[in-house]
Amino acid sequence: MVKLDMFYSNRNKMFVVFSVVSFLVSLSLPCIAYSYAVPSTGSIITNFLEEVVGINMSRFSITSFSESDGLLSYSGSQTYVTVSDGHDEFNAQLIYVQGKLWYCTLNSASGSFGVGEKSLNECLSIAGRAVDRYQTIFNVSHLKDFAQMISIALQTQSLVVETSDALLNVSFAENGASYRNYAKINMFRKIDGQFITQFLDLAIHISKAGLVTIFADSIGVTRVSEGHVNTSMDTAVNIATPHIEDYASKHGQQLKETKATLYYVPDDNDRFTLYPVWSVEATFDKENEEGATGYCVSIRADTGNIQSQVPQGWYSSHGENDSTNIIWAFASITGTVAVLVGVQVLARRGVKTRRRRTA
Amino acid sequence: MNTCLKTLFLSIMMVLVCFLAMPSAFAKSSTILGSRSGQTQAEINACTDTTNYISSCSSAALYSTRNLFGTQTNSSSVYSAAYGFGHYYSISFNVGHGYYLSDWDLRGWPWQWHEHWQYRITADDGSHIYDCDIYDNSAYQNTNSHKFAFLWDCEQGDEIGNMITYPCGEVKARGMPLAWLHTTSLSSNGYSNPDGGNDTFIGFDGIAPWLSDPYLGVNESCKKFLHFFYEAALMDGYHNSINDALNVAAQSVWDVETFEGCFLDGGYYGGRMVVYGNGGRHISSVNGGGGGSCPTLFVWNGTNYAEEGLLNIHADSDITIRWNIKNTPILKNNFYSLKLKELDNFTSHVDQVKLYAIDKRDRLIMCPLVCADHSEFGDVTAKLLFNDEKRVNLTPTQSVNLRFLPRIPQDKISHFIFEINGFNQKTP
Repeated sequence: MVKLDMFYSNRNKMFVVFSVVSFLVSLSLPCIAYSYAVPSTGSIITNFLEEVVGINMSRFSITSFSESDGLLSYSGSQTYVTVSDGHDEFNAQLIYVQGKLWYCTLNSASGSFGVGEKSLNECLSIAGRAVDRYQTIFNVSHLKDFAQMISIALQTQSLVVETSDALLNVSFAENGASYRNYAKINMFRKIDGQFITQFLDLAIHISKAGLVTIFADSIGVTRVSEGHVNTSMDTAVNIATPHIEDYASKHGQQLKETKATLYYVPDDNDRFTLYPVWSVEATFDKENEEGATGYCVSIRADTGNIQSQVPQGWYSSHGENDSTNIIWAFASITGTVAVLVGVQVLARRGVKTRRRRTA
Repeated sequence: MNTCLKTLFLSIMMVLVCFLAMPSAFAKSSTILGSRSGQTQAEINACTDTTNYISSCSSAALYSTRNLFGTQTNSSSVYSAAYGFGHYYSISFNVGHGYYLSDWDLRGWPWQWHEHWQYRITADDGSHIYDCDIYDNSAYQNTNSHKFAFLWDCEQGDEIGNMITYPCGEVKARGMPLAWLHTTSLSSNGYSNPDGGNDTFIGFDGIAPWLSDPYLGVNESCKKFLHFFYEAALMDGYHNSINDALNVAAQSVWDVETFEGCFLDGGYYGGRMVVYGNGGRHISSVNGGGGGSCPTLFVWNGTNYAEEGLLNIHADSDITIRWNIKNTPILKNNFYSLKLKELDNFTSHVDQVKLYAIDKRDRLIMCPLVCADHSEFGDVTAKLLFNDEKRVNLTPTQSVNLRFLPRIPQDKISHFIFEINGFNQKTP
């Protein structure tokens, strides 16, 4: 019995010693890199980060992942991913509209986008790979011609490639200063033979070390309305002018200059459908009591209807010189001079009077 | 008996003092100001919509919100906003006419002509509110408070400012960033080079556009810009810093890749929007994904507990989050000292915490937790050592001080990683 007690006692001691030793040993061992359980969409995200963005996902692991639905007014959903290799950390934000990728932006939490400097050829290759892999991962094909244009740019070493309905433009950060957005590759679509630089383009920014820091595809999420430009510029100006003149006359202003610009812009109620709009802007000869220096009438170029009309101005376009002190100073100087001159005149008169009396 | 009564009285007083002090220390205020003076009706309508929307977003982000657009925008309310109502976190927005004033003067020895140059915004009644008066009437209460001021007025971002001694001997604060934030230690480009500090100012260098104008063909584009900015910064502030929110707004309104180069960033003649200080700050911990936030990690940096950021442990059950520590932890009484605080209105359930030192060969070395001291429950070390079912609850304003044992010399450490296991369901 005593032996059994001793055995149990010893066993307890051994267990305690074993536990303590195990604990201490576990503390001294370097820990194994940890990875986060990625939700169902994780494979797409992982593929996108690896193949489009260019992060080596065999070295980096996802350490945080979250999604939000319908936050922004246009009902875009967002995914936030953080990847880390224990040393470098990147945050990627992906915005989707109706299930299609609109934007992906990559930021470095550790402050570094890597080392090295890519050449024009390497940047174009990275962009070409990104477009190609993006289309495969998201099962889309609307950027096929852009992929071909990148190949042409590679072959011809051109910074600009133009086709009948698209334009490719490559630019580098001035003096190579930007590590994050070192090379910018933009591709624009044409509508009615006109380049649309807003709302209908593909933008790929590449870091100096070759990571895709911005991948923005407006083309895939934006629809162009079927309405064509049926209203000419002159007609638009003629529609707008009476409204502009009416406002100007009510506020005692004269029309100085009028210009009309055609934009393809979203409607207030539909962020992802573009409509042609003539923006007729007039400037006046002077600022009125409301601070307005101009007037803008927006006219739908497909229907000829006025979309909006508003006076234009700025939140005060000039500073002020407070003249009160200057006036006061001039008044005081003038007053002092006048007094001095007066005293001198009186003094001379006094002298003259005394001389006369003496004479 | 007398001793007992004294002790009881002192205890009650201490509890009362703590009770009164805590909400003030960690409360958040949002003040929305705007002047209708000298504006068109279309612009007043756009400003009304905008201020109402910012007010809604602020309330949703749990700010104590005051929408003072219109008659209530006067010198007194501007001073209170710049003071942040004495709160630890405060944000302010103002829209209206702004000017600079060049005032030539001949006062004071040696009676030489000299220029007084100050900035001013406009109250709803058309009167002027000067930077020097805002500075003088908004004494900084909390030295570590966090402020964000966004002035949509002309010229108010022309300079960060400074204390100026004019030849006549008058000493005045010049510059709205200084007047509102009470510091000149601000990055001159908080967008490209955030300074990592507590304060941020957004204003205009030169003229500011009207909210109702259709710039680049987009109807009421600046009004939309502000809507998207505050929506992203406040309704999903966990993910979006001020800079991120500027990007989201620029993308959403004009479909440009980033704020850099958008219409407001030099896209028009005579002015541009400027960001001073720390554009990398988050002004809300609300997670647009339906939760998150909480708790906030602080690190002892040798002089104080520097704020690291919000650890997103939003989930219905335990998750593990790793955080790359940005501030360099400094030993305090031979231990690395960190603090977890619940600054939001939700409860975090913390199961386990770990601190790793990463050496220069990229090896993770765990620094053992030796003490966890809860602000209410005292020693909770045992509950935070293991990943089990024993958790420490952090309700709003509660904190837990953590001490970790150093394992390798500081000169051999590349950086630190903090790991937390737990969850926050984001329910009050």
